[in-house]
Amino acid sequence: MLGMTEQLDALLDLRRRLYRALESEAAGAGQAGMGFMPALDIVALGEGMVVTVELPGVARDDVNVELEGSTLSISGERKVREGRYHRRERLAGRFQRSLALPEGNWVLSASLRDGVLTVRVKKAQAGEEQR
Amino acid sequence: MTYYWDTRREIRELRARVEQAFRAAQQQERVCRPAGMLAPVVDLMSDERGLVVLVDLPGVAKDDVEVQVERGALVISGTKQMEEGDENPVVLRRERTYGTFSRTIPLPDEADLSQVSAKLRQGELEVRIPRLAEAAPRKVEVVVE
Repeated sequence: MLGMTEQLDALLDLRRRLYRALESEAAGAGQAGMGFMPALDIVALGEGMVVTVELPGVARDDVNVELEGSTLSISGERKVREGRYHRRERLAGRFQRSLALPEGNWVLSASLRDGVLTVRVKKAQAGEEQR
Repeated sequence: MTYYWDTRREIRELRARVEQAFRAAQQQERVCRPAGMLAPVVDLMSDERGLVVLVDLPGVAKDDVEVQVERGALVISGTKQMEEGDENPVVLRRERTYGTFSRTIPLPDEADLSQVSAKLRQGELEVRIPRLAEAAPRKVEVVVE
C-alpha cells in the first residue's frame, strides 16, 4: 500500500504544528508544560531499590535527580539537534518523572551510562541527600 | 439558547483526537514490521554534511548493534539486553522494553551508500550518509517503438 509512511509523516507534522500552536495555551494552563515521560524500571534491592531511566543522548549536566520529602523526582532536558528534519519520532525537550517512595530516610546515588540513568535508593545511615 | 464556546475544552478534545489518530496510524505501521521485534524510534534529518539517522538505543552495547545497507535502505538491528543484576530480581515496575529490534529506513537517491559510518554514544546511534558529490538526475530516455 503506497503512502502509509507519507501519511504518517503528514500526521506527525500536523501534530507537531498543533502542539507548537498549543504551547502557549499549555504554559498558561500550568500543568501541561511538564514535558515527556521517559520509560523507567524499578527493581527492589535489599531494603531499597534501583531505578533505571532511559535517557538516550542526554548529557549529565542536563539531568536533575532530587528527593523532596519522600518523592523522588527525575527531570531535565533532552536537547534537539540542529538540522532539517525529514522524519521525527524521538521525543525531545523537557522531561519529568516523579516517584513516591515508602516513608523513610533515603539516600540517593545516580549515574548516567549509555543513555541509561541509574538511581540507587538506599536507607540512610546518618541521613543526607545526594545528587 | 446560548452556546458558550469553551476554547480550552475544544483544544483538549482536538488534542485527544489527534493523539488517537496518531496512535492508530502507528499501530498500522507496526504491522509491517517483523512480529515480536522492538522498533526503536528514529529521526531522519540532514545537515551541511549529509543525511543523519538517529536511533534511540539506551543501554545497548556496541557489539549488540548491526548496521547494514540493503537495497537502498538502512537496516538497523540488534538486541537490547537487560543490565546485569540479580538472578531473580524483584521487579516493582517495568516500562522499559528488551529483546531483539529492527528498523528499516529507506534512503533517498542522493545518499552515498558506499560511505556510511555509524557511531554509538550515550545510547544514541548516529548513522551518517553523505550525499553523492554530484547528484546528477538519473534520467533515462526510453525509445517508444
